Amino acid sequence: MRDLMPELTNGCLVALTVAALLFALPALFDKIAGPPGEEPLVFYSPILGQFIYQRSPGSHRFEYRDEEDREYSRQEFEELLPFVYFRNLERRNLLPVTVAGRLFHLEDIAAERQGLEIRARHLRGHFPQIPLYPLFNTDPETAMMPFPEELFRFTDRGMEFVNADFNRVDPELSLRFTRVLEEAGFVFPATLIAGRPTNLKPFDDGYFIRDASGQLFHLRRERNQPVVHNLGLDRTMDIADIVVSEHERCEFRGLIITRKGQILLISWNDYRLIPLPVEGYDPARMDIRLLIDPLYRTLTVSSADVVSAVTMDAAYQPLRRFTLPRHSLETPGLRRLRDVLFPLMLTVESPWRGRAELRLQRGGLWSLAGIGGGLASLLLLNLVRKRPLLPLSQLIPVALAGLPGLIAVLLVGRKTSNF
Amino acid sequence: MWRSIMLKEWLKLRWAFSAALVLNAAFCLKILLDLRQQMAAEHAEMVWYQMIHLHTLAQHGMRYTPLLTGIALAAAQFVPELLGRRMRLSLHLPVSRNGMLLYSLLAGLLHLVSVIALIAVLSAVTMRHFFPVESVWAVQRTMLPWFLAGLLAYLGGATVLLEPAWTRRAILVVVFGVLIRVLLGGRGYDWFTAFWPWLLLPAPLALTGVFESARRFQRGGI
Repeated sequence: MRDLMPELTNGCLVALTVAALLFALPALFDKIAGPPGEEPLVFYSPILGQFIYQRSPGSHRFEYRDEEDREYSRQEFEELLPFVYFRNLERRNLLPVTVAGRLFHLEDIAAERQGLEIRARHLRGHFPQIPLYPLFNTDPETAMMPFPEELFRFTDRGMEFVNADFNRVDPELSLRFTRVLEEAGFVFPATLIAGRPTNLKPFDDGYFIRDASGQLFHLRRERNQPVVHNLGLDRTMDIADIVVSEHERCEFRGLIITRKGQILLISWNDYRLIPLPVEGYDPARMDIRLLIDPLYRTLTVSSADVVSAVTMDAAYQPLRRFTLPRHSLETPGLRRLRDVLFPLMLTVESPWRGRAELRLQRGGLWSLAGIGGGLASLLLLNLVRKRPLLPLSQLIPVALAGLPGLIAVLLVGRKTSNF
Repeated sequence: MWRSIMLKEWLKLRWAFSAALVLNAAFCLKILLDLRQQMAAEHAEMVWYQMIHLHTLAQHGMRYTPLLTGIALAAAQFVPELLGRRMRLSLHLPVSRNGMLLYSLLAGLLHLVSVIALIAVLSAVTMRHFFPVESVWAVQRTMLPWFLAGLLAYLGGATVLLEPAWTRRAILVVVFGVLIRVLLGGRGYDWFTAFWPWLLLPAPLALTGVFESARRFQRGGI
């Protein structure tokens, strides 16, 4: 029986070499080729009554165009977006401005503006999170928002506050909140906790918490007492995450994002859900931006390929839609070259995740040319060296990984392999 | 015979091992004192906030110590074997090459795992003293890739040192360097936790790879 040990030990080294090259070579290629391009910024111009965008053709230059591909200067672009660049317009004495027959001063615009950017990498489960949260105490007699001494967690039996000074559970505070939650019908443990654990905000609006039975609650801490509200939503709603707003406009408390890509605002006064007319949104790998101005609400959804936008009236009814393909700085030739060189690529970075994500990416059709070229080179080399033409130990790495496989076989593969 | 091999390995490893123990224990002590000082200077809840929500990791400064430990242990174990070609004498002992190498590697790994265990235990005790239990586990999970980097550094070091050809040595340094760079490339805590079982995969491959270098060493680089 043939000794397979050398084949095994060498095969392991070849496998490690292929893995290292699949990480390193595509990263090196991208570093040399340059950045892929910036995300275009799409806005709705209330002056033009259509969308207008800023995008970069590279080299830190920007171009400004509208839906009909008319080009504008930077100054014209700003003037067409008075609700976005109102502070610049004020400096240029262009305020107040009349839009849709109404006169807007700087203060009117500032008071009615709100922006919310939600990146896929910031959604629940897409970034590492230790499930301990501060519940800020809202006290009308205190101007500032002091950081609470306790962080809370949810267990199977209740809500627990852990005091930071003593690193111990505060039984009294824990019991008080657990009781109130139980009285409100909360079923422990919590399955989703959404809030903003920072005091860099105008006020605190607590947390939205989904219980084990699928009910959604709003929990706040007022004068050190729990305030709980059951939203009474459909328990089967497949919520991916909830983003809390905490904005002085107090129009909505936050928004619910479902796994199917629905976006629903939670209205401030009555917790009514307002669905946004979004199409094709995938929360796993798309970012969204909601811009509110005195007249319109504009929602943009950015994927790897396109930016789509919808502008709405104040009741969130769609008025106009626009889709802009993302312009890659990578030329088709460069893309084909990457496919030829790297039929497979390994990476742990993802633009849609705030943590590492191991991804084995396949190249396009041109990868077949790379694999074919690698196999032909191997065949030719073995022919010249008078060795077995395509032994399995060499065929597999090259057929799977193309050039990186060929490099691994040539650099660390066995010279006398017959396997 | 096996006892003799283990004794020989201990004699080679003891100083590097002791130094690694002292170095890692000193780093752990420094982290304990840093946290103690920070807790005294700031409000405890703000230190918690920095750790839990801003992902400030007290252990960040010692991410390279398992790596250095792995390299030091591999060097302590295999450099003396290469000096004066002592390894050739060992290969003439009435023990199979692979068996002898396996025992040598087990001895080195045992020492490395002891140092890693020390770091893990001291870090856990320190974190538990100041932070809730969730933070303790988060730090342990975060340090796992660093420990695996130490393991790869040890096995990679052994593979490189036993390899007789200089060009191939250089290639292997790059290969292990890239893999270790990936393991040490995390940010904040729990960066790799979502797919940590995949991180274990290179270790058995690297362990097997050492035997390839030993085989080539015995056969003069063929």
